[in-house]
Amino acid sequence: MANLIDSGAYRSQVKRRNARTLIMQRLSLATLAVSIIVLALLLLNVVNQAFGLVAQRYTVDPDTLAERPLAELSPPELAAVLLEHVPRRLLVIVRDNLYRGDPAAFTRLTLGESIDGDVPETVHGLLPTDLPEAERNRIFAELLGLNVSEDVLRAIIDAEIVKTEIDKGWSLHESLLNRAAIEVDMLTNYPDSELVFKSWLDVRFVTSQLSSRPVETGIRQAILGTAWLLALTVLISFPLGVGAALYLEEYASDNWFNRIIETNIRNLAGVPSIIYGMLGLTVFVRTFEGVTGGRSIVSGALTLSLLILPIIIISAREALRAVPSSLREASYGLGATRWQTLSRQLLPSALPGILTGAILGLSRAIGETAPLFGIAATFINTDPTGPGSRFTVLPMQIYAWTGQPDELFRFNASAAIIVLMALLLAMNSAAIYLRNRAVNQRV
Amino acid sequence: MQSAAIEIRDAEFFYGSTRAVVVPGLEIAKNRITAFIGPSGCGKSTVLRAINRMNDLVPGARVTGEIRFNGHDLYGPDIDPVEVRRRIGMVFQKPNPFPKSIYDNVAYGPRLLGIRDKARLDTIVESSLRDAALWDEVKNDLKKSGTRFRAGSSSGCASPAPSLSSQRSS
Amino acid sequence: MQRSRSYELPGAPSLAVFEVEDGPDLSRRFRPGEALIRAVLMACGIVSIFTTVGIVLVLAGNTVAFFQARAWVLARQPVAASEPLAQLTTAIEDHTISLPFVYLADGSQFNNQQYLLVGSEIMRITKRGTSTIEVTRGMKGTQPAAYPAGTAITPMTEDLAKAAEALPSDDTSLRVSTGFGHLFTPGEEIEVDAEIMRVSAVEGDTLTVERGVQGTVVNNHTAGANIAIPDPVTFGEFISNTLWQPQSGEFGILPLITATLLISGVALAVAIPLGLGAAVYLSEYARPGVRNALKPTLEVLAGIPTVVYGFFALTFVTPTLRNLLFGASLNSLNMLAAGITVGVLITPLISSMCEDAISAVPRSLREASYAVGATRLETTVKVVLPAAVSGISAGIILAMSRAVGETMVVLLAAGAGPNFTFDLRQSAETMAGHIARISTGDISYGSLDYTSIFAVGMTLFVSTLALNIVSDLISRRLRERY
Ligand SMILES: Nc1ncnc2c1ncn2[C@@H]1O[C@H](COP(=O)(O)OP(=O)(O)OP(=O)(O)O)[C@@H](O)[C@H]1O
Ligand SMILES: [Mg+2]
Repeated sequence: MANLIDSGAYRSQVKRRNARTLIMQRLSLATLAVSIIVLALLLLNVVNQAFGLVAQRYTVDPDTLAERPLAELSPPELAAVLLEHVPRRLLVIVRDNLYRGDPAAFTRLTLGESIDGDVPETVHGLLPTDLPEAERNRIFAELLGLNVSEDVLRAIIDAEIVKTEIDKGWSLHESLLNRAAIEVDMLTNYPDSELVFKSWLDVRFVTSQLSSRPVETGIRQAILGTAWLLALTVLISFPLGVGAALYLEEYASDNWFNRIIETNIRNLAGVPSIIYGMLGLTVFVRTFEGVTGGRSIVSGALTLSLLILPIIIISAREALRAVPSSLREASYGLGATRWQTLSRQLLPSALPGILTGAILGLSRAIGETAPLFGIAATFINTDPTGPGSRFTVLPMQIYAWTGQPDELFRFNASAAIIVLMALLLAMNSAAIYLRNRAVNQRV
Repeated sequence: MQSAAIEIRDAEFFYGSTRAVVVPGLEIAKNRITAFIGPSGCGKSTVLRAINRMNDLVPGARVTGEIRFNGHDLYGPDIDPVEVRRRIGMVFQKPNPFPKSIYDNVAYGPRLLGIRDKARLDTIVESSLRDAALWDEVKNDLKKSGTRFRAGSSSGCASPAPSLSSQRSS
Repeated sequence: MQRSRSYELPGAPSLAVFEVEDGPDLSRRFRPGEALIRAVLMACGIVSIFTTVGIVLVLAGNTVAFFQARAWVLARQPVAASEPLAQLTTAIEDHTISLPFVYLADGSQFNNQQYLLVGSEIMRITKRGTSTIEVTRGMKGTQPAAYPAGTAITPMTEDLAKAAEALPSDDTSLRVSTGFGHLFTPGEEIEVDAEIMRVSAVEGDTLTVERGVQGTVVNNHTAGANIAIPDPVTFGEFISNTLWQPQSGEFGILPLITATLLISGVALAVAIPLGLGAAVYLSEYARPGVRNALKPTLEVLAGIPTVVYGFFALTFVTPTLRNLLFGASLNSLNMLAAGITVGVLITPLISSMCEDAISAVPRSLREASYAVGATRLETTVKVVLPAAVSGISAGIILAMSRAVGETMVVLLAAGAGPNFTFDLRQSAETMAGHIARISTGDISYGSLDYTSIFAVGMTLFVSTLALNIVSDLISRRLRERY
């Protein structure tokens, strides 16, 4: 035996075996590294297309509009630029920016009634149609100067007067590494355009309307739609999910009926989301059209609620199970009824865990596109006003833009992805914060 | 000689299919302190917990035979376990504080019974803590988390019910 | 005071029972609040059952409607389009399906699915090669026969049956374009514009019809109106046809299934090594600090919305594959890029399930292996992985179900139309992708297009459900073992 262990053959065998272990370790680390690299590529690819050089051209050069650069002008001065260049458009601009009601009724209301913001006393009772045109436009410009921020006014000037056109966009890495080739391309193909660096994600993009032009479009409706949808989804799925979890954990005895419910929930968690979309489309959009209003936020929220219910239920059950049974016993031992024990002991203790699960479920809902096909619109330029409104959501816009033949929309899609991911990051940080607080409390 | 408050007759206590304890007969007198003594695992807690039906909460736990409280069969078909627990208190072997203030821990029982009046709760809390000889120790910390205090088990002492205590000396 | 003394008894566990007024009412009482809450909570639990019932009813109901429906397809037949454009280079026996030919005289090419006239036999091209084509013989009622070398091959185009002259609303004899009369048989229903008629007799090219059948409105029809014949959708066709073309009444789910399987296959080929490797590293090799630093990466990957993966596949994976490997032979929409991306998407799922399975292997097993001198690799490969195999396979099956149902990536990156091909560089559409694309378009409810997606949905639902159940059974067996 001793001979065997001392022999050179044995030693080299051990060496070989250990070397193999090392190889395995390196290989398995490599697979993990691949995942990390892919994640990095995925994020870089998005950033890469959200910023970069563009070949840009104006109908009117913004530098000729005023004495000083537009960036330095105050709101009244910007409004004066509008008054000077596009007086005829002022009515529409005021209506779109300072008025919330039915567009057709705008000219039938006095300015005091219609304008959402400061209106000088002197013009309070005036009807837009009563005034001579020049006077009316002057008042409109004054109202814009009083009530609209510089950023929005600059966006309006851009859309109405400057009318920026983008002929071509380059990704960030092309812009940084390949500048010479881009300049050659500019000279040969776009001699009238100017090469500028553009951030596709900016305040204007987040706050302005959806549009069919990539230069102009924003994600305002998509963000509002996502917010509405999320709010309704929470209202529906959270009570239902927590209720079901409480029933299964605390009330249900181990009989066939409750076992069916349990198995069913597990299986629902694995149903592809597009199938939920078909359910939503048939049941909420068509069958109950009278109640939900068809392709409305309610229909979307109901569909997403069904989709994330299993997630909420499963995580809420885990949170309830993690409550130490001593709490339960102490409460029952003092003669508490079931609901008294649940509401005063179990729910408060399990709440952080339940919330964490709910947030994870909601982040799933926020990123889902497939179940909303046929329910959300791909293009819409009115803000959602209530649960019955038609709507669109961020992922739906990202999908629509990515699939567009005009590749400029890809830059919009990237910018929207950054917004969506930021939203998700915020929600997940909240979940992690809650989880850590829960862990600290328990110690 | 007072009559028995609790009588146990021919009782067997099961966890699933294993029989944990057999009690052929046992009477617990009124107004007396009765102690169960025995080696670890011999079934003291099991019997105690059966008396206020805490074992209902353990899946698979069963009792056969008879346990009477003031003449009522505690396992009779018409008995409400919640009512039983409201009348037969229990103080646990290990302190079981709720993650709340000492005050809320002590007031938990009275509140369950629907006492909302602040002044009345205050008196109950104070007298319970005095009875448990904890008042002087904790009176300045009533609103602090009870978890860190030995007073954990004080939640049991404000139960209006007589207590079954399985507290060891601490 | 008596009470406090009972607590002060030194060192003894104590039990104290005090006087209670006689006759406390211990009887069961009805607590309406408790009962109501119980009922409400139970209702919450039942909602999930309604969801399942809803899914099954919606899918099954429309699927049944789909198989009861009939598509109206325009009546058409192949007609010789021109002079013969090619000839056989060698003789063919009647069983030969490879048709050798010289190149077409006018420089054009044969097309897949095109009809050919050889002698008096009509054939249909199933596969076009460079100097031979494969054909289905004896189409449209003609008989296969042997042909000598030099026999002319005439390409055919399909012509539609039309009304040869106007059909006023009071007329019952419909003349169809010359040579098309034999397409119709007495008793059959036909559709002209939106009016359905029943053919009661056929004489040459003139049909005698019963007007306005099935509650349709009798109308005037102009000369040249297209005539459609019913094409019932059969289950046999559904599962065997390799063509999915709702416009022409072809409903074969095979192209959707092959694309789904191919993409899932690529996805698993990517995800199994990545996921399993990551799980092995995290649970067997990584120190706790490293582990805590690296594990969130996978969690982040799992949390990224699928539409972002779709964007990634289309704007990064495909261009990269093109630049590095395939060049222009890679279609800009293709199954390969979609499959790889879906693979990345399911990697976190596989790795977390595998990690659970690996960490469920009892330490004693590992220690037993180390004790006889095994290295870490040997322990991992010979002891840990075999012991965890059921958990690992449960994870893989679950991931496969996820890949089969994945929608956004395939919708954006794989293709916008069903395509029966096994070439990963080509575009094709999966079941989920097809459903998504059809439901975004403005199709009319109740049309055959619309109900057809439910038949696809049912197939998708059943297959993912089966995968989930198998995965569940396997992982439950695992739980019983340890
Ligand atoms: N939940 C349970 N499930 C199964 N068996 C149990 C359970 N609780 C207790 N037992 C068993 O019942 C027997 C009695 O346990 P019990 O806790 O009553 O003993 P004890 O006398 O209170 O012990 P100690 O002095 O340690 O508190 C033990 O053998 C124990 O293993
Ligand atoms: Mg004990």
